[in-house]
Amino acid sequence: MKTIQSIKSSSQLKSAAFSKQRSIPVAQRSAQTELYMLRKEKQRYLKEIESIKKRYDHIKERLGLIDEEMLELSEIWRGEVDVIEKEASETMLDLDTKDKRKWKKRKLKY
Amino acid sequence: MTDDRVILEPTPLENFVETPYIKEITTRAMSYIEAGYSVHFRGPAGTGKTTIAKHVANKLARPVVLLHGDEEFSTSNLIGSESGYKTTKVRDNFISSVLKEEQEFQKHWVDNRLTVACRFGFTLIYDEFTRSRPEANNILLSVLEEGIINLPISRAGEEPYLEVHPNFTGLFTSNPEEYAGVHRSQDALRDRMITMDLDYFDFETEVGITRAKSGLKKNEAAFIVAIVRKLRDSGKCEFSPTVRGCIMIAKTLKIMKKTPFSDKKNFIVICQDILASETSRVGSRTNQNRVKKLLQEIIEETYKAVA
Repeated sequence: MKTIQSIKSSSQLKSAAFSKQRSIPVAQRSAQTELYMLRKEKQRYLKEIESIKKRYDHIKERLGLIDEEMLELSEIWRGEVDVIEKEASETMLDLDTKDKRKWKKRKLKY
Repeated sequence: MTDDRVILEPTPLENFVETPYIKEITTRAMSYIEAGYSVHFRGPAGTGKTTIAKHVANKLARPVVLLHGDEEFSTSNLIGSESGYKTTKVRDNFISSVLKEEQEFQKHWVDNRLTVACRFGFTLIYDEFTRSRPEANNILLSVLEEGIINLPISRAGEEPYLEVHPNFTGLFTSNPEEYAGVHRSQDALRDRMITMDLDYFDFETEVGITRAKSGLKKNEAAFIVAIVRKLRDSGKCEFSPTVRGCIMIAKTLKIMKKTPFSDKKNFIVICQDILASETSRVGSRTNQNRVKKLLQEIIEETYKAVA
C-alpha cells in the first residue's frame, strides 16, 4: 500500500468510487426473491404472447374479409369499366361519323 | 375550327406503277409507321419522294392533310391562329323599367393543318419540309416525341395541350441537294423520325413509269430510259437527269406520233433539248454544248447496241 510520502502529485489521488472499493460488502438477493421475479417476468411474456396471438388471429380474419370484399368490388368495377369503354367508343364513333359529314373530300391523285 | 375543312384521299392513277422496288420501300415505310415513327423520305429530285409518301398514305387508309414547306411559314401556319372575334350580346329587359345589357367579345381560334391532323388522327404529308424555316417546324418536336401540341392558352374553353391522336402519322419529304430556298432541318427533328434515303428508281421501275405516263411501247420506253441512265451514270452532268426527263421525252414523241426508231434526227434533238436543260443549273452555252455532245455519243452508242 502506498503511503502519503510515496504520492508525488495530486494526479495520483483516486476516489474510493473510482477505484471500485466499498467499505461494506454488496447485499445479495435471496434465491426466493430471484425466483419470484423470474416467475413474474414469465407471466408477463406469456400474457404478451396471448395478446399477440389474438391480434394475429384478428388480422388474419380481417384479411380474409378484405379479400372477399375486393373480389366483389373488382367484379363490379370491371362491369363499370366495360360500360365506360363502350360509351367512350360509341362517343368516338359518333364524333368520327359526325365529323366525316363535315369534311369535304378531295382526291389526291398520284 | 374552320367550316370549310377539306381532307384528301390519295388515289393512285390507273397507270400507277408498283414494281418490286416501290413495294419494298412502301413495306419498309409501313413497318416504321407501325412501330410508331414518322417517316422522312429524303433524296434528290425525281426519286419519287412525294409519290411514295402519297402511296404510303394511301396504304394507311386515313384521310390526308397535305402541307408544302414554305419560307414564309411560321408556327401559326402549322397549328392555327386567332382569326376574328365572336361576340355575344345579352339584352335583359324583363322588368320594363330596368335595362341590362351584357356584351362579350371572344377571339375566334382557327385550327391549321397540323392541329387538324393531330386532333383527328389524319396522315400529314409535309412535302419539302426543309423549305420552311427550322423555327416554324419546332412545334413538330413535341408532336413527334411527347405526342402533344402546345397550343396558346388564350383559346376560350380549349385545353392548352392537345393530345396527338394515336392514328396520326407524319410523312415528310426533303431534297438534300436542293440549293434554292431550303434550310437545314434541325438535328432534334431529324432524330425523331426515320429517314429513308431514296435513290433513283431501278431500270424496271423507270421503264414502267415512262411507259405508263406516255403510252409508248415497252421497247421504246426502255430505249429512252437506257439513254437517260447512261447520261446519269456518266457523272459528267452538273445534275443527274431523272425519270421526269424520260417522261418528257416519251410524252413529246407520243404527241408527235413518233418513236425513237422512226426519226433518229428528231429524237436526238428532243433528247438534247430536254436533257441538256435538265442537267444544268445556270444553262451556260459551254455546258449545254458539252452535254449535247455527250448525249449524241450516248444515243449513237445505244442505237448501235439495239441494232
